[in-house]
Amino acid sequence: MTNANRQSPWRTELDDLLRGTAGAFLFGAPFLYTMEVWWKGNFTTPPRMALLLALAYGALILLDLQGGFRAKQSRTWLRVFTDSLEALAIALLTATISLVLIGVVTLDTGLETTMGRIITEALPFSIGVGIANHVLLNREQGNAAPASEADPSAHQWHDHAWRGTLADAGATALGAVIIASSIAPTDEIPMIASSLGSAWLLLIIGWSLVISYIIVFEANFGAQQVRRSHPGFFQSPISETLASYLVSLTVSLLMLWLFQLLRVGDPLSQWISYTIVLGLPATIGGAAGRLAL
Amino acid sequence: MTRKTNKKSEAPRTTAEWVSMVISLVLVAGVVSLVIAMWLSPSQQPARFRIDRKPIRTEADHYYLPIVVTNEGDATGAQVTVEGSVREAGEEQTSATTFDFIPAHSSVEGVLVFKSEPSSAELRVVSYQQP
Repeated sequence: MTNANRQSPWRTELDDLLRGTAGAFLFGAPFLYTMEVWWKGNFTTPPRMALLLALAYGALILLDLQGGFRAKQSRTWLRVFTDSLEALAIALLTATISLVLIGVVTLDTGLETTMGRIITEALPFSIGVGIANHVLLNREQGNAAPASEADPSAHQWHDHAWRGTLADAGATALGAVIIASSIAPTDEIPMIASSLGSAWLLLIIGWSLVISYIIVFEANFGAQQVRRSHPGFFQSPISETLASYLVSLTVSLLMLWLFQLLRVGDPLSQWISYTIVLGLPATIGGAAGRLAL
Repeated sequence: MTRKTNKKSEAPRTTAEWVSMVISLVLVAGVVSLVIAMWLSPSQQPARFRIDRKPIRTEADHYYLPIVVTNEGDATGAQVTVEGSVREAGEEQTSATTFDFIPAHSSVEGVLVFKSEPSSAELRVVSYQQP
């Protein structure tokens, strides 16, 4: 069923790590776009940082016993401890990258503040890594497998490429709406967008595409095996990533307009920067939406 | 299936697993030691601000004076209000701006706008809050 046994150990390890990364972003995105979380980092004292790290590690150990982020369950206590350590490292790394990307941690930020913001943000990211398997892997064993092989007639309508494409686009839009609608009306969007230059916006676009790709394809989770067998525009990895990003951007644009953060008459640069900034969490939601399909 | 059910002890780590574990260990150890280092050297100086000026630009009869406020203390300042005053022909003109947060050892930028040439303006932090 899974190709974990066939593929090289390096590939398996990469898949595991990327699955953890995907989980971190899925769960962490809404926290990333909450300025109160960054602000708490402004006056987090070192003892509190140590406490937060210990809490995150403790939560990861408990979550690892329930699934963790690896496809293969950890069976010895030593493995549980080291896997949780790796999960914590993934959370810290993804939180750091994200905070740098949205301009909350810069070279002008002092060391204690930087650490405070990263460690505070790493807590929700850790939970995301810890539940990665539950969100992303288990479906492959459950629903997806029988549908793909046992009953080809059940999804015969999928053979129509247009239907498949529309279904995927709909799922993307739905996932993007769920995440983007809770972020769009907040002040974080103008705040982040106004602090970023155009080169930085290009970085965010690149990162959005990479994350979207990682979530749905690279990490081998969800109903991916089945989905590749469906025809439609969404089925080649690159075109799916691009198409879903465009759908997510459209959803972001509509949300921003609905919540009146963007109005007709606002400068074009504002439309573009706001949409790209909201596009990052939206495309993460969109990728999750397609997995739930 | 992905989960093996055999009762044998866990398969030895592959090289890939070793590599990622060592990298993770280094990362986490780095973060933890940084936190401990900060913990052991608590220099709780109160917030202290330095104001630097950047080149003035003029815009429709107004002078824009960009400033960089750096918090050199170890505590965060909230609602940091900076006031600049220029004296011209005996008349004092002030301009002020407030920064939501200036964390310890961080700097933020703002602009004060004056009607008269502000290169001799006196700049000072008039108030801030301790969060």
